[in-house]
Amino acid sequence: MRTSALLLALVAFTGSAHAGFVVVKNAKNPTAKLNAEAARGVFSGKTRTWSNGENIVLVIGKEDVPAMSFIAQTFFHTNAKTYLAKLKQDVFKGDVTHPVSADDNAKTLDRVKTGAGVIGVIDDSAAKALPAGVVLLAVDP
Amino acid sequence: MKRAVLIAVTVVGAPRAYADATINFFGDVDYQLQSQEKVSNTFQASNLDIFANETEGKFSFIGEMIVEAAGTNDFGIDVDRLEVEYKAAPWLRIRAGRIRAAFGYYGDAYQNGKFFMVPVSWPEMYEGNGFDGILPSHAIGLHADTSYSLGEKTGKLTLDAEVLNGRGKDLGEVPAFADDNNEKAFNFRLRFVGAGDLEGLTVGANAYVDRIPDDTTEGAEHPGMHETIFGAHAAYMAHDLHVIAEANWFRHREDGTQTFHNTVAAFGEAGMTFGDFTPYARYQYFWFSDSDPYFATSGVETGNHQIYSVGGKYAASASVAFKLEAGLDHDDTRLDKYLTAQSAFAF
Repeated sequence: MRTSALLLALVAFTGSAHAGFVVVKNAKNPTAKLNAEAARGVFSGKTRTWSNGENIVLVIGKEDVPAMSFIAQTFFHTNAKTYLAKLKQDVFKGDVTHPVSADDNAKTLDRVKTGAGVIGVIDDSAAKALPAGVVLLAVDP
Repeated sequence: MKRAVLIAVTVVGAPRAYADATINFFGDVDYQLQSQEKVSNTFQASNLDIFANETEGKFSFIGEMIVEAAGTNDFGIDVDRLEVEYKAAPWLRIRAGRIRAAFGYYGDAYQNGKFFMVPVSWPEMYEGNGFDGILPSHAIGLHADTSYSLGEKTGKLTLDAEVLNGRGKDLGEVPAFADDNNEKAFNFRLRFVGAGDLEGLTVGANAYVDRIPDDTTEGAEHPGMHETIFGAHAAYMAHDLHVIAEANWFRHREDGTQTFHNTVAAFGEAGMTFGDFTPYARYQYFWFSDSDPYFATSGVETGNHQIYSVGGKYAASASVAFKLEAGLDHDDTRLDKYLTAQSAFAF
C-alpha cells in the first residue's frame, strides 16, 4: 500500500521498554523522507529550512519525555539531558530557531498542525489516528 | 524549554495561527573563597540573564537583557544583545544591532550562559569576575557570515565580517547610542569547521582594526590609539572531549607620540566527560610590554601574570549544572588563590 511505502516512519526504540516512535510533520510540508544524516541536521537545528524554504521548527519536550530520549539516542547516540542542553545552547547562540514545547502526544500534534515547518515525534500508538493536517514523515535509519 | 509567555496573536494575511514569544532565564549562584580579598568568603547571586528570540520567515530577532551587579553590590541593567537577523540566502546571514563579536571561539559560542560553559566563568581575556576583559567581545554594528562547503565528510570554511562602532573610551563602554569617533572597527574571522571524521573540530583566525578614542576624563586620561588585534583559536568538541585554545596579540599605537604597546593573551582548557561529570583544567597567560594606558585606565592589571585552574562540572539536568573550581593567579610578586562553587541554570 502506498502509505506504508511512503510514510512508514516507525523506528524501533531499542534498548527500552518504551513503544516505538514516529516522526510527524505538517501536511503542507512536501518533504517525503529523511535519511539519517538529514534527520540529524533537522533535530540538531543545524538545518534551518526545509527544501521549500520553510523554517524548520522542532517540537521539544522536557528531559523526561520519552520522545526526547528517542531523538537523543536514535540520532545523536546520547541522552536526552545532553541533547536538550546542546540544543538550548545553540538557540542561545542564535544559530537555531527556538523550538516550541510540548510534553505529550496531543500537544505535539497540536503544535505540528500550527505551522508548515513544524516537526515532532510521538508514540506510534498515537499515530494510528492522526488529526487532519498532520502526516507521518519517513525516516531511514 | 520552559514556555514563560505564550501570546496568541492574529496577523492579517499571515499563514501562522499564532506567534510564540518565548523567554528563557539564565544565571548562576556562587560561593567563593578568595585569599587576596579583605573578605575571604562570600555568596554571590549577581546576574540574571533574560533572553527572548523569535523567527519569522527569513527574519529573526534576539533580545537579551542582563540584570547584573558587576563588581559592585548595586544591580544595573544591560542590554547585552539586540539583534535583527536576515537570512538572505542559505549561505549568507546578516545581523545588525548589539551583538557578540565573532571573535575567537568563546566570543560567540557561550554568550552569557555559564550553564553551557565547562569552567565557572569565561577566560579573563573575555570577562573576569566583575570586570571587563581586554577583547572587544561586545559590539554594535553590522555582521555578515557565509560558508563554503568542502564536502559533507570534510567540513566547511566560514567567514565572518563585521563593521562596528568599536571601542569606547574605556573597556566598560560599548558605544550604544553614539560612537565616540567617526572611524569604524573592522573584524574578520576565517574558520574551518570539520564534518565527518573531523566533526567537532574548529580552527580559525581573527583580524581586527579600530581607532580607540582619547579620554580626557581627569584621572583616566589616555590618548587616542590605533588598535590592531590578530588572534587564532582551535577547539575540539566531540567524543566527550572538550578542548579549546586561543591566543591574541594586541598592538596599540598612540596618536602623537606613536608609542607602541603590545599585549599577548592566551588560554587553553581541556576536559573530558564521564557520564554527567566533566573534570577540566585551564591555563591562562597574560603578557604586557608595558603599562598600556588604555588598559590601565580601564582598571586592567597590566602586569604579566598566569592563572591555573582545575575543577569539575556536574550536569544535574538539562537545565542545571553544579561546578567546583580551584585556581591560582600569580605573577612575580603575588600568589592569589580562589575556590568557587557554582550552581548555574538555564530555564
